[in-house]
Amino acid sequence: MIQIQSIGRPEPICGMDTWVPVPARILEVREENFNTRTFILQFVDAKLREMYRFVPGQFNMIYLSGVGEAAISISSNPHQTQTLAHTIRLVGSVTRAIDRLGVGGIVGLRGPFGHGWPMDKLEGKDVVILAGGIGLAPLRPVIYWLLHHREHVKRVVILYGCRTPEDRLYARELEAWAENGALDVLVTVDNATREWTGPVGVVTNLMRRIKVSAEHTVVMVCGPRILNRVAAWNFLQLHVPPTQVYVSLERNMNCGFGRCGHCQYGPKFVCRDGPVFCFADIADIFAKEEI
Amino acid sequence: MSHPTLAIGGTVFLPRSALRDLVTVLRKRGFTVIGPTQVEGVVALRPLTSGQELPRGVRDEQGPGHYRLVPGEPDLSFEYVVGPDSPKRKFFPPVLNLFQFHVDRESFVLDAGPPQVPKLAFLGVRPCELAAIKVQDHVFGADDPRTVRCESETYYCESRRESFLVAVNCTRPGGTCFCASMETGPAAKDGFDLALTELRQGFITAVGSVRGLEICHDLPVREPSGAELELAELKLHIAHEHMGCTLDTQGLKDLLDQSLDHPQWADVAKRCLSCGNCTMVCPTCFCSTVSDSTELAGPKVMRTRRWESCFTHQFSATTAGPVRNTIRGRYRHWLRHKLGTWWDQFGMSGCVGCGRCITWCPVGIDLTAEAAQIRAHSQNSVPPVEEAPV
Amino acid sequence: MPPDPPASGKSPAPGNSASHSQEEAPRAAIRPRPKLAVYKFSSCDGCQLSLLNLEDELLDLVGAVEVAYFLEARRQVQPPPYDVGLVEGSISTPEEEDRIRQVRRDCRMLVTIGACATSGGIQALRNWADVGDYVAAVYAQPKYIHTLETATPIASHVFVDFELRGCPVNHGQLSELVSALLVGRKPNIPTHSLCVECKRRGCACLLVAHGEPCLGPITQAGCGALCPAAGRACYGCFGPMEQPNILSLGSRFLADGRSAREVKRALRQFNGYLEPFKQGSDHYERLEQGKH
Repeated sequence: MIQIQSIGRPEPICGMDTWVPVPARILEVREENFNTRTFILQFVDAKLREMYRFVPGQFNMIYLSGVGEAAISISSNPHQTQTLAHTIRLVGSVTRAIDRLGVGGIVGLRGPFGHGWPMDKLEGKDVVILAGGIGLAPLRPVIYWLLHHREHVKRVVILYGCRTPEDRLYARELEAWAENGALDVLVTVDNATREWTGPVGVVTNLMRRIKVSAEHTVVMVCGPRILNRVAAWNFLQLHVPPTQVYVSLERNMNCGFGRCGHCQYGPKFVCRDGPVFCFADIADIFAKEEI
Repeated sequence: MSHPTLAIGGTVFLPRSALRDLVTVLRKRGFTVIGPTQVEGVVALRPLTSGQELPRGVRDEQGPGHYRLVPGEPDLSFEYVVGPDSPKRKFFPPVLNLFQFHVDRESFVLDAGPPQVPKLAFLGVRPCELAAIKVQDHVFGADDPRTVRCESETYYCESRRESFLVAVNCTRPGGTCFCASMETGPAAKDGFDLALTELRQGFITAVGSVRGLEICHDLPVREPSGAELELAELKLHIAHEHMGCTLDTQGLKDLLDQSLDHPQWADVAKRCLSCGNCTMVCPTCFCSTVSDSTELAGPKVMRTRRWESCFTHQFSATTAGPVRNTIRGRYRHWLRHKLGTWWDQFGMSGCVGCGRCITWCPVGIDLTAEAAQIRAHSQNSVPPVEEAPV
Repeated sequence: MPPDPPASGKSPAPGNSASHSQEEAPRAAIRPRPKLAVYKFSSCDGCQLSLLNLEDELLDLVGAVEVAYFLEARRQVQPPPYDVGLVEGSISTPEEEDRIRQVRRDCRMLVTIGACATSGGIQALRNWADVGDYVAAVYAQPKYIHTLETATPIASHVFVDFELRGCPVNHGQLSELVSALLVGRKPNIPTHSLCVECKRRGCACLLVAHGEPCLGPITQAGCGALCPAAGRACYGCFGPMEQPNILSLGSRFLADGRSAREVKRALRQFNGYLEPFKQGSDHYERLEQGKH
């Protein structure tokens, strides 16, 4: 029996005041696709590297001096916090500014914030991970965790969909995981290229290719809003209990700890109560607009 | 001087002439005294240098989208109720520069901040405002010693800890008041250092804290007569029965949870300006945005926090666009939050019944009326069960 | 008191053809000491003066950007291309119609400053009348006057990257625009109502407490509640806010005893030709003429 590390929420770090971030250096920038990069960050302060802990699914507020902050989920191995990986789509002024900064640049961090994936509820279960596009980024720490605690769970299936083969995040890792045999990895693309031999179509189509015992399966979903909805509904149709379906949601965030009000989702604060939610807890509002 | 009633939880009589002394005593103790003053046709909260600056002989006339000051009883100092300001302005300022810094190689070097915390005494805090302070204490974690360092609202918590609150009970409720419905007034129950009930000769004064007791020792208080106590109680009882508005809170949270598709939301959206006035005057609304500003030349960066409103379109902006795209969605979010989801988030009501959002709405939208419409035309509305006659 | 710069937000300017341009953050920070050009079209020069009125910050501005073309301030002109062009004024002559296209070609980023450039300005009131009548009434020799039938915003002619509202623009917003572009920040220009700024500043509400016909609840913030702080109702010189509910505020004015004509005239001022105000004023014109 493997001892599962404490799942309690780690205390976030900040500078001398709540709103002062701590400096971290960009060690490496990896190009994932045409507008997405993975930034490997390291705290300038060596003590923080030792102190820092996070749960898969949590996020940091990344700060670019003079530009602002953005909530970005952590994409690296939770057992190794000497460096942190953040996979970022370059769509706003903060994300473009970090890209301009490049290797050696200094950014600010506050975090980790939020409620992560249910790592304490996986024992003896089948695990299905379904991600679309950049939605794989907050699930990558889950995959590392599962590889580390492989005996803890039964089957692990990763279903991933993106626009084209070139758009895949962590493409080499996906292939390595697929070959490794510890996990079942199925990747589909909306538009195939000549070299692509895998499936084509939306990621929810992949659900037909897997066989899981619904009541013993935990599902983790992250993707665009419409995918979250369709995937969650499909799993419920397959009789996965609502208490075992988890989705990660995106909202505008400013503080990260439930005090600025921006990320409210009905009775929830996405930053504090989420970004990962159990479907059973949000079933009433999940399909509603403008909540 | 000492009386048997001069104790925490006790009641003393403060002569009218001593109201000035109260301001002086507080100022001597190092407090900046904030109280009601008549400014530009409204009762606003401003720093007081003496008790003379308190309005006298003034009443407010409040209704949906309507506020006027009119002459009142010349001798009385507190015949009006709440104006657009609330103590929130001071504990949680509308614009607060958090800190200024610059990047020096590998560190953020602070040039200014965090901001200095003032020592404030409030005179004339109404019971609904005490309730609102209690709500914000909870929202900002001032009442929770377990709040971790990097999630704490330092400015709010410290300025609150320093603060001294002199409450004034409401003997003449305003046209949009409904504190009786929300069980927050018209008489203050707790959360004050001193609480005054105005009579013609002076004030029945309840002592709520050690610091309140200390202040009383410096004031010419005396034991109240039985008649004075009875009169004060009667005035508050009458006030309780004369609220301008009422809100039926019975099962309201569940009702709103079940009414997401109610036609009333579209109806109110036709009237709502989405201007944000209600959120700006609300004493419990806590939304804010922290943003950066930079100098034209020079490396210094300022981080500033400003009040934000859920009625702005960009409030809920994501990379896929704003979540609440319509006025209907934004009004629904706001009303549901105040009266419903606040309970889920904080275990209490987000509305204290002060009526500001009704008065200061430019088109006079009344949330009690909107809630009543939703209740009246709810598919799930069940008539209240009447007790069977014995 | 300094104006209260905005809190957040991407800014889709409502009802304007250039609104989509504000939804995106600037793609890249401008390289060190970018070249700035300032142009004038049909206008009063007030917005250019706001730039010169930056006072304390003017030296910093000249240090941060290279003022390459600014005829109001200096005769020396550097050749295009320019990194940022600030455009004042509306298009009201055939010559201006041609010139704005050249300006667009000369500038990497084009920013309109002020009500004329953004909405057509006060001169756009001619769009509801016959310009020939005006010309005949004003000029002794109308035949020498070459003017267009309409005065129109810059965005009706070329793509505009960003807009600053106001008559004149607020100098705090001008310096926020430039300093934001320098570091690659999305300029912190709010699109919400003026009321948010007015309440933050702590002004007494002129509409509720005094019954004044204040346009604040439908007007975009940015001036720092300049007029309300001086006891004067907002007359909408920053133009319509995001998703303004003009008819609801108009109903309040009518209920207060004001005529449809008064409401129409309140909307048809500096920004009368900007779409939501235009539609609103047309609505009250129909009401005034009994065509409702």
